[in-house]
Amino acid sequence: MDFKERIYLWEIVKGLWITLRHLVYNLFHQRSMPTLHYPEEQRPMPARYRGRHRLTQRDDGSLKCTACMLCATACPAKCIYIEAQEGLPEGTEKRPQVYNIDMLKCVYCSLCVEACPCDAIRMDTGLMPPPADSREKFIYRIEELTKYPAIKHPNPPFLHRCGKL
Amino acid sequence: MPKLTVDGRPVEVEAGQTVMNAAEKLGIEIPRFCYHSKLPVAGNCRMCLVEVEKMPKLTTSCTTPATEGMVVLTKSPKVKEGQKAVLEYLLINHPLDCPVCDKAGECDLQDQYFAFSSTPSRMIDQKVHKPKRIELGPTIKLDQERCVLCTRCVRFLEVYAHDHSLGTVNRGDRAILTVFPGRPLDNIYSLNTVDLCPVGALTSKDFRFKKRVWFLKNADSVCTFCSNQCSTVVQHDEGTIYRILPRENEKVNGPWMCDTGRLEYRFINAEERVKCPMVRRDEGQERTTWREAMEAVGAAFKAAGSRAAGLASPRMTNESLFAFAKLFVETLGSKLAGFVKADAGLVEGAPADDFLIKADKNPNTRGAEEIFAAWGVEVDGARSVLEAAEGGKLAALLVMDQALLERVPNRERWLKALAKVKFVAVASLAENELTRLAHVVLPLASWAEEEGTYTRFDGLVQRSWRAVPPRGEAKDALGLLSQVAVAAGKQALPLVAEAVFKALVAKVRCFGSLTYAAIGKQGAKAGSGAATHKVEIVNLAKDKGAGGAEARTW
Ligand code: SF4
Ligand code: SF4
Ligand code: SF4
Ligand code: SF4
Ligand code: FES
Repeated sequence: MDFKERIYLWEIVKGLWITLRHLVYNLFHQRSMPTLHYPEEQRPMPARYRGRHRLTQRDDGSLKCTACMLCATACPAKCIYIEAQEGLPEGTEKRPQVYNIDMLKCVYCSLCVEACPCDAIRMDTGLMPPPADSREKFIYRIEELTKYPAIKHPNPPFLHRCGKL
Repeated sequence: MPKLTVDGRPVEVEAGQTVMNAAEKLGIEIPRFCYHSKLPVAGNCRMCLVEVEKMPKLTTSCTTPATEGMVVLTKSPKVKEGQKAVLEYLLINHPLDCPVCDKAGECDLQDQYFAFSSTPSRMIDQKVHKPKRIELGPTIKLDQERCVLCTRCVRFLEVYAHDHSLGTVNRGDRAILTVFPGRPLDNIYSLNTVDLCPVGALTSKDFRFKKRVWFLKNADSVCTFCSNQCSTVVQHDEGTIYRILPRENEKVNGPWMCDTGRLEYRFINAEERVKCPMVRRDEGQERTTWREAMEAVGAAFKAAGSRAAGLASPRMTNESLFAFAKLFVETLGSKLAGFVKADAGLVEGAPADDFLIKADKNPNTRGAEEIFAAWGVEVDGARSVLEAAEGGKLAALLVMDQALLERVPNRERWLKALAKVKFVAVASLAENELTRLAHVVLPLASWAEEEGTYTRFDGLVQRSWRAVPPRGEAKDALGLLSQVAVAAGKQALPLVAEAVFKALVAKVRCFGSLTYAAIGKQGAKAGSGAATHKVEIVNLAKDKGAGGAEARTW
């Protein structure tokens, strides 16, 4: 280190100058700024983006999920927690009472989607989990997992899998 | 003794044995659904087909007696084709709802399909549908679609439980398993049929949908609900116990156990357990730390000197009972110790019968009697404790069993006596009448949360492994007793069960020269050469009288 570096002060002034330069420049050139005002502004997602999960429903609004726990078995992050209960007399024998995904642990691998024998879980909302201020809020329950519709997919991957496309 | 060859290997079996037995002797696997080594042979599933030279057709190995000079093939192309055909027939109307079937993962039909067939279904017509959620009784649900009509369940109930409530009716694809209308399957051994069922037709209501079986971890254990001490497997995941299954042990229970014992895990998972130490203050009991609680216990026991007393329970392990007796006799120098036996009439659970259930609901009565006798504690020590308490002569009392008052016939008398004791410490799993009158409550680990051995009424010593960690701040009995010793200003007691067992064997003669390794998973009796205490004879005589509740009037 030479003398200028050793007294620090000069380097600090240099750094602050760079910051100030960008600040002033950006103030007058807002359009060309490289960053986004997330979450109000978002980048368009690529077509095969795996968004947050969605639990699919039957026409009558009941969940397709049978609480078989194959998704929880396949999940490498162990972030799916399911409690099963006795099904309704007219539906399947078994249905979920609790279905939680801990989005902080999820690695978005979509193995759960692949494991599901009932097409009950998909990652087709195209949404990212919004920021939240507690861990608790990142645990998505049935209500959050059924809140958002699927985005129109140009190339639905699950139909590919079934050989329907 | 006929000699035959199976798959080219010679084998000799006892007369009357079947081809299946001969193959098993050689370690050759033959698939089966209806055959079970402990049940009469039915020969109705046809899965065990083998080829026998000079026989025109394939034959079922479970029903064919082994005869001299037989040449058996279990893996010939013809046999393989036969096995595939049988599986295809069984699966024609099978719903294959494995994802919601509780048996999936331990299902014989699943496993044998993958091992012996793996061919896709050719069934294109609608399957025959049958009712899927039939309440067979208080413990079991039946799915008639999944049943393969092997009748294992029917045979078990008839032979072992003398219960004829299950049966099959109708023929062909309409055949179903059922109970008589209005006569539910209500038997204390009913859940054995769930273990026996090779498919997911019979499901235990208690375990149904609670957990997929592949998540479960096993810990070998011993049932502590009656003195038969069935060998068990405790299945648990992430610190929670989900079910208890029998573990095969010819010396004790075979592959069976009773329903009461299977459900005994529920109080361990219960939310109402004592999770941290509590002390009594003017306003009632308050949570506190172990440190503070032990300070109170220590002060009381130091002040009490020889006026200290202890009550143990024959539900404790041999090791804990030994440590308990050592604490009072050797460390604290008080002979006022005893154990309180539960009165059979006051414990939940069926009366004794000729199969498994015993009248004495204390698993370790014999161990407690032998260990206390070796330490010179009188057999009726609890009575002396009670009398001393009534006379106001006790300054400090340690009770190791929270359920004491629920299980003695004269609990009013105990309540009054305990209220006269200056200081009562209760090591407990749950809050109840007894803990409410205690000055200090210490959280105690349950039998599934500690290691140890138990002595069966016939002298068989069995080992039980720890399945789950203690709930909350609970401590196992060894740790707790050692803390009491330290708090009273004495030397700590050993904490490792195996070390305690070594000391126990050295002190208590009737344990012979047993070691943990010798006991293993199947249990072991002390060598017959070892001298035994006379209490043991008394105890054996008592247990022979099945059904008799040993009510004590004190
Ligand atoms: S995407 Fe992967 S990590 Fe996330 S829940 Fe599904 S299986 Fe688990
Ligand atoms: S795999 Fe599908 S049906 Fe099974 S529990 Fe998961 S979401 Fe539900
Ligand atoms: S009984 Fe076996 S094969 Fe049949 S649905 Fe259950 S797991 Fe699947
Ligand atoms: S219920 Fe199970 S054990 Fe009973 S006959 Fe059917 S398949 Fe066999
Ligand atoms: S096992 Fe032999 S016929 Fe069923």
